[in-house]
Amino acid sequence: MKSIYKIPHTIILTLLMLFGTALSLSAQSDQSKGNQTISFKVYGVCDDCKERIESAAMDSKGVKKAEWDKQSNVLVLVGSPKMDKMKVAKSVSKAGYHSEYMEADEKAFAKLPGCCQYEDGVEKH
Amino acid sequence: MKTRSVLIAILLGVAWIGYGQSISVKGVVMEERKNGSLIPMEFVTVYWQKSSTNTTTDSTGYFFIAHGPEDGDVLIFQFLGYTPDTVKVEPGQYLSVVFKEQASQLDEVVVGYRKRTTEISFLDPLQVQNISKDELFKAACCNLSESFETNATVDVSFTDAVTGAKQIQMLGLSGKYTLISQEQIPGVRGIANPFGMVYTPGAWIESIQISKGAGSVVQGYESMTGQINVEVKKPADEDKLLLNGYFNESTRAELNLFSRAKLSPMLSTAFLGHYSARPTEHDRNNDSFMDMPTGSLLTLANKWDYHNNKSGVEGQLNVQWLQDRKEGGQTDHQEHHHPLYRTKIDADRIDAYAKLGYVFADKRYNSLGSQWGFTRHTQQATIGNNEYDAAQTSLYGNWLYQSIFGDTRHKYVTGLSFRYEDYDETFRGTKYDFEEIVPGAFFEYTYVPDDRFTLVAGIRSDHHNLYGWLINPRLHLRYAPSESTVFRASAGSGMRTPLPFAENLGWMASSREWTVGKPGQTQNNYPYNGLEMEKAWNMGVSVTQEFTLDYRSGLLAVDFFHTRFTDRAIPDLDISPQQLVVYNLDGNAYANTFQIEAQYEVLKRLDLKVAYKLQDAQIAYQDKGLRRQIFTPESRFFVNLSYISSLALYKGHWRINATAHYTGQQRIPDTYTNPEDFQLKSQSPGYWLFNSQLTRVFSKQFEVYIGVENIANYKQAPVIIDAEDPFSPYFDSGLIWGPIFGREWYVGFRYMLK
Repeated sequence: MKSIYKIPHTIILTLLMLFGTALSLSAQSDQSKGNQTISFKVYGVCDDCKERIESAAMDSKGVKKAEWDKQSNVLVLVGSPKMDKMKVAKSVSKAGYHSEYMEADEKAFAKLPGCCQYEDGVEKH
Repeated sequence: MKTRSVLIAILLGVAWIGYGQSISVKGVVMEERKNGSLIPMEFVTVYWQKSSTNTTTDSTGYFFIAHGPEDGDVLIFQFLGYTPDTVKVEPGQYLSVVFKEQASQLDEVVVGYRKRTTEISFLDPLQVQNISKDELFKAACCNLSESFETNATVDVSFTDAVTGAKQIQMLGLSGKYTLISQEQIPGVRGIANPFGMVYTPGAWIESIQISKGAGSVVQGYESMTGQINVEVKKPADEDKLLLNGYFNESTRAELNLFSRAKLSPMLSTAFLGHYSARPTEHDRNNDSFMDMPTGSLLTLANKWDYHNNKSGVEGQLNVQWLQDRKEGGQTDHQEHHHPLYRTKIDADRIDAYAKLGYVFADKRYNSLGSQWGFTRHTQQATIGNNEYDAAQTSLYGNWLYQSIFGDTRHKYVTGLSFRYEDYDETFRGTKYDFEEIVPGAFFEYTYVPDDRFTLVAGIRSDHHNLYGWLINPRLHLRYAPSESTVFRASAGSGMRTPLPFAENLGWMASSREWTVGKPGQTQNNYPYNGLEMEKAWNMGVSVTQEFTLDYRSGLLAVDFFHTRFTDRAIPDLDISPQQLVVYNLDGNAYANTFQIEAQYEVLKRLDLKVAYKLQDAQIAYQDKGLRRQIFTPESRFFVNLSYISSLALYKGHWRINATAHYTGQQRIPDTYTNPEDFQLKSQSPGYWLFNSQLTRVFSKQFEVYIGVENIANYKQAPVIIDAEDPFSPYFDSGLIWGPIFGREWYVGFRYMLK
């Protein structure tokens, strides 16, 4: 029994070392050349909105990172060439949010909690 | 018109995730008037020099701009009447840009980042690992001792098969060498040692900070391997109400409550409650003994919080009351001739602590603090034929003054402390009573010349009524050559008074004859027949590397720690299987640990955590020379995967996580002098445990979880030596190295009101 456990151990340790070295090396060399950055406006009012908008954007194909700024309503996206802003806008719309490119899906908007009813006069908070 | 010069000053916060992986830059642009007031500037054009992508500031002076690889790293700020200026931007930075007439300094800045559920602080000179609430949710049950399931630093195990006591290990050594504090007040200690970890319900915990190696001198001299600090939910907490229920396959049921109220802008209070019970007896391995004790735990706490920003006075008061009842041993339905082997452990505890502080309004670096604590703990234990009663009364005071030498690069904390302990123990009719009266003083200097380097040097001196003068120095160094790499080193000493009965209580569940110290010898007045104070030096080094790869962040940490004892009270189970002798160390005792840990978001929303630990702990046992410390796994490995589904839709989301945990071989005390049937192997096999949990989040208010522990149903066998005849000289239920109960399903819910 002993030897069965011994072997994966050595392997695991080696893998960990390799994993670590590879990551730290590639972290420095990674310039993400093919990536594109786009930004457009999405209208929301609070931190819950931020969580939903960013998560909806991340659901869209090719998106690697999304950041929405509450104060300026700007959504910034970085992604692979597959990323498409209309698809992102659609995903955001389905989550109930109105953007520069698309109205919010009415049903989804209606389901948003009271704090996030941005089209009914709720102020940023 | 007077010509205005433009000066732009920037103060960088800490950019967390480096290497150009940030995708935006934000900040605020202000104008400093002659009278010194700062006015936000609207309509300032902000653009990237390289790509000309631009934005303008709003009426609050705020701007937010996307930052792609094509934008370069130079931002230009332009406003009519001012000379435009360029600012070189570091990723992830929050900029404060001030247009003004004269050169001077700038102000503070905050930087946001995605929080990992377990993270290692980059600024702290001590290697502090923070376990957040999100991480604690991954291990749904039940109390502090079970909160380390997804943590590689702290190991948890049962110590015996009948009392259900939990033992933690850190850096290859028992949890008694770790300072366990609640809100920085020393908590689980003294006779609370075997069960104290169970007394903090998991649902009450806000976060846990684990720091390895010699701690700060401010919290006392007892920490040797590190500190585990628990922050309990506070009166100023975000949640107004938390209700948590839990039920598992062994019929353990649990209910937790937290509720808070703000009585005035300055005063708030919180109420915490916990009740848990396991009413039914389980004996899955059919050895006639319950796999875990039945019983109940009821505890209530009340917290007060006072904050006055104007006067600078702040205070906290906490009171906790606890009642713990446990019964275990042989199940009722036995057809034996002799009486049943039963255990019964009752504990009652009241705990109160307060903090009072004052921050000098005009000098934020200057503060006075005081901490006060009172604990009364009583425990009655009947474990087979062993009767052990204990009572402890503690008083604790710590008074701190914090200030600077010259400027904030040179900070110091100094103060006085006082500790009083009164122990009354009776073991098998023999009384062991003693008092500890320990006044002390400490001084800790922190040198922070810049963001890259920190030095903390501390020393404390205490006078113990039994052991005399105790001097403990500690040193911490931190060096961060880049924003994502940190090297740390620490060294220091720690001391503690051994409590041989409380600490080794689990081994009372055996037929062993106990000998503590050298009975009859009274050449010194040390308690427990001359046991000396335990003293150890600890030193360690670590390196932590943060990285981002394809816009997903990760972390790699490696550390090595060495603890060496100069004095130690050793519980020796090897002399014979019928004896337990606790004596003073004569020779070497040390523990080395090497740990490597990696975390990375491998796929969108899928986090991977891998850790491996090697441990080597050796003790010079009496007449046997250097041998491996018992029940210390030579290695540990664990891998944890956790996934959160999209948060985009209001209808809720899922969280799932799975952990595989390997525990390496452990040395088992010698049993070769027993008859063949009652002998154990000299080592336990290594074994794997698999746990998994699924949580359905219905809304911000309500979630339900279901999980299973020990999926492969791995069990130690045999658990008890000579379970047939518990009053024979061979009976021993204290030699535990693995799980006893096997696979266990559980369900629970959380209801939160913000």
